[in-house]
Amino acid sequence: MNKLELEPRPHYEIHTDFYTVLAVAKNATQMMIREAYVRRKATYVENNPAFYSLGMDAQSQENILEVERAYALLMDPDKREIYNQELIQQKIATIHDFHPFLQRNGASARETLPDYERKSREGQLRPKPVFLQRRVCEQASVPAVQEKYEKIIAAGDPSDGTLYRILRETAQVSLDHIHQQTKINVDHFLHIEDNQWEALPQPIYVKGFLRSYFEFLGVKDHNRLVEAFITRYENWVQKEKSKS
Amino acid sequence: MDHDIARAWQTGLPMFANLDPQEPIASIIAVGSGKGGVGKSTLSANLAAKIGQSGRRVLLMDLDIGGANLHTYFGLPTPAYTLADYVVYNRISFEQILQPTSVANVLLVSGGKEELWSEPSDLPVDLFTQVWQKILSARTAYNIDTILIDLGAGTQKHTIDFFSSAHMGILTVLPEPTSIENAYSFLKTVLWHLVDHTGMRTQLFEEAAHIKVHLFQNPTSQRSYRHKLQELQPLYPFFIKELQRLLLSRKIGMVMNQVRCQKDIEIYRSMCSIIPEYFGYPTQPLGYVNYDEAAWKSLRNRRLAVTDFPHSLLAKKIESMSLQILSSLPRDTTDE
Repeated sequence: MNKLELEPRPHYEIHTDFYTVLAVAKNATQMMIREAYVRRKATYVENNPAFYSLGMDAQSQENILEVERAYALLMDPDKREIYNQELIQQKIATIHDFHPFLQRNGASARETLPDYERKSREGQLRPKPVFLQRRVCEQASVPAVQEKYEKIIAAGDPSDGTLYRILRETAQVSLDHIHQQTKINVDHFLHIEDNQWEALPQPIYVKGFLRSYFEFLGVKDHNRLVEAFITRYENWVQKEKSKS
Repeated sequence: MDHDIARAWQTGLPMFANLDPQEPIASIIAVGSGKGGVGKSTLSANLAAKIGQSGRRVLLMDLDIGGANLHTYFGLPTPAYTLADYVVYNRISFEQILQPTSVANVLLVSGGKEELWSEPSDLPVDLFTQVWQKILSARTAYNIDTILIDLGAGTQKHTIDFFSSAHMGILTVLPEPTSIENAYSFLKTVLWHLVDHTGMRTQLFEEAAHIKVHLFQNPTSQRSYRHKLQELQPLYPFFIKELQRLLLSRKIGMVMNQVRCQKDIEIYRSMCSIIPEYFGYPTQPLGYVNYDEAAWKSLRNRRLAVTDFPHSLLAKKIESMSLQILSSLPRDTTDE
């Protein structure tokens, strides 16, 4: 063989992806990437005794540039995602390298991945914790009860506590029951229903109590009732202040 | 898969090491460095003791020809018969030079003094053929699980042959320029021999010669060997593929001795990433050993540091090394 033929072709490219440059796994976290970057940088530092006698100064300079490029790209989640897609298209990596826990059933796994991400973003995957679930009494789902609610509200004064008591009795809910479900002191509800404003706390708290109360009873559009009660209560508080 | 690895591993063996593919072999670990006085013998004696304590039968071979002194670490007297009596003079059988030691499960083969080796005027090239046969048949003949070979300094042919043929070659370095330089030249020589062996085993002598010329006789090129091999891939696809499979079937275990400060640890970490990058060897960082007075204190009493000071940092580090080595060796050679 002629010696000239030994020379490698000048345009032959050695392919290394950025994950190989940093020596991290394809599904590495940002923390792992940062750690690998710091370590690589420390290796290619000038006059590193570990390079003694290898004569690699020029290549170290090239490597350090490559490490910087790899780090800049992989630390940006958007650019990294685009780069990952390119690697998959060029068949350098598969989707399982980036998502090792994905189901291994080929094409369908690729389709389910965006679905999975959307669902997890919208919170559809896991049920809400028990303490965040809205509690509603049983009678609220009966259409007849809802009709009665509407009639009662239309007939009475929306800012009147006694009206609320009628609503509650329509739903056949006792004060004790509502207290157990909302964990709000039963006295507050008693004072609201009796319009005993002098016994009530600050309006902002009362607002919250009323919301829980109506949500449990299943009263639709209860904001109007809450606002009416609070406006009347606040006016009374103002008057009391000006008297003293 | 395991069978493929075993086959690739065999491609790198020297020609006179004849292996029956059906025969189970013990896992072979060789400790080498390139420079002398870096703690190869200390490491191999203590490592053998730790592996023996874990319940595996270890054959510790002192192949530091001309400087054999492993028996001193175990407090044994100068042995009556050594490897030289078996290899050079054929006076005795191999069983007679297997010495039991103070540590359970560890058998020692002493190397013999230099004058014994220099006795015959011309040593035959395949002097170590019988040693190779004994190493490869140790599992069936003597029920040995692990063979630990302590090598001498320098890049003599037999040293490189044993190091390059081991399942794991432990490269011992000190954080000093001289030791680092010699370690790299040692690895270069190992690569040279592996190319050579591949050429012989695959009958591609001409290609092996060309690759050696291109790899080693081009001092102006600043490319690493890994790059050069990748560049040669389109020219010699079969040969380079065989060589790469062969490299992947063995490991370099990296150990730094006598670490005194943070800077030394940084050099160790850098070397652990440079070796796979520059030479293309799969490298396992086995750890560094802190400079510890326990080492020379126990040696002065002719005892082992790991049994004399079992709670020293040194003993802990060597224990973690032994665990890493055992877990990384190929399964078919470590488990029956």
